[in-house]
Amino acid sequence: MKNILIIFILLLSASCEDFSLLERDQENVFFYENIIENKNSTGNLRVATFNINLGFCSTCNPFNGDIGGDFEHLDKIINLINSLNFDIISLQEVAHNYDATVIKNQIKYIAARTNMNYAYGMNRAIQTGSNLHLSGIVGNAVLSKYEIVSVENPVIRYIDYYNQNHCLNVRIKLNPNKEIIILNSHLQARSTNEEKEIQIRNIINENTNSNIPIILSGDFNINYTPQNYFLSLLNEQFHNSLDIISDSERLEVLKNGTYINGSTLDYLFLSKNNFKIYSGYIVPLEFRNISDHFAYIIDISLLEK
Amino acid sequence: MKFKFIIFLILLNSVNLYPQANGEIDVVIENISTTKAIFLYPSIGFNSSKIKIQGGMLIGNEYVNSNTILGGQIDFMFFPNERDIKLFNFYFIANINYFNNPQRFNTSLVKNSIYQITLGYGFEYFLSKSIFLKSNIGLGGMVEKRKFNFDTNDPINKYGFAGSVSFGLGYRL
Repeated sequence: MKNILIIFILLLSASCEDFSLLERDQENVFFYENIIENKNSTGNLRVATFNINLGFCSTCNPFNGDIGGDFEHLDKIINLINSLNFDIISLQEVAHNYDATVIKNQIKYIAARTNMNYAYGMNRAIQTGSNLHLSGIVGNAVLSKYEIVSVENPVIRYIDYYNQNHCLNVRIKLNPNKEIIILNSHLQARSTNEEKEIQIRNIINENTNSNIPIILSGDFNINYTPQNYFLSLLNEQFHNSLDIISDSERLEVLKNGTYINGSTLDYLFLSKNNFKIYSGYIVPLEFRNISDHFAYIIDISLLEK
Repeated sequence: MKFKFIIFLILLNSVNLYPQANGEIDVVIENISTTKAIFLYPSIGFNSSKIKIQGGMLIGNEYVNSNTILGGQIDFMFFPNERDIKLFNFYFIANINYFNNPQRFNTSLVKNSIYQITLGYGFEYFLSKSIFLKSNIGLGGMVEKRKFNFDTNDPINKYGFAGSVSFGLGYRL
């Protein structure tokens, strides 16, 4: 009897590990890989931000149970990236291990065919109301021609495992003397004003002490207006690239918008006194049927200090 | 390590309760896995013919963020063939549990109160006159009631699917 008791104490002690039923216990998924040899940058960069809608078409719903994210569609994204020769591109709504996508590790697939280093960070776990059996992660990614040194993925808004937002923080070595940080975030859609402010302030708080030049990119789900309160929270530390490109270029971007309904939701911010901007524009017309967002691109150079 | 030590202490305390009645009271220690968390569940049960009512504390970890959480559970068990210490005893079980799990992030706070109700079945097997193993499985529903300290469009009540699997050791007083 005593032996049986001892056995059961041991069994119970051991059995309290990972005995989950239906719920995954991934807390914060982020990773990176340098797959190309180190390149050196002169400091001139073409940088873009692009929400890829989980690799689904521009009018498709990635959450209704239909299958998407297949080779053919991801190849369109790859073709865009290769055609425009980006140095760094931030992607949002990148699926990872999502049941409804054909390609499970989308960023790795894209990186291998664009010959770029990659970093990925989850935004939230997927749980759809109409298809409770679908699971996976949707997140943010950065592709870079230059070496990725480190990656963090802090939370900027948290309600629960399926309703949270992160800001991917990627440190990149442009050459032996210069590093920059790319922040990539996808703010919550249809959030309240208080939540918008919470997310932006948390992004600021994560990066106030950085001496390294920062490019903040992402889908902010905040429609551009001049002197927008939420965007202006970033003014102390950043320039909104839309505000510092030429008037004609800004009008062109705002006329098209970065989202399929004409809104401008996607941004590239530059930390002050670190960059010079030459131009900002939306991706050419032939690439605007890939996702429900359009890539927004800037050509910049890093200022010598 | 700390968690395993707590398990050991609770089990030790449970089996130190010497019998005072004629087998009408059980003390049980169970390991329960639910859709949201995994718990240790020390409980006391009162038997009456074919019915047993059992209740106790839940002490565990939430799966996603590994927060330590406390709660409580009540079980209603029905033995259609009465309990017999010489056989496998089959029972139907309904349980209700409650636990809360506050989530803090900087100044944001979400207080989650989770109620689960599951219906299922299980077995008891007596290893001796007083000691038995029990195991049950149940499916049901869950409601998560949330309170936020910030303005959000996220729903206050979230409904979902609840499942429960448990395995434990009991002592009949």
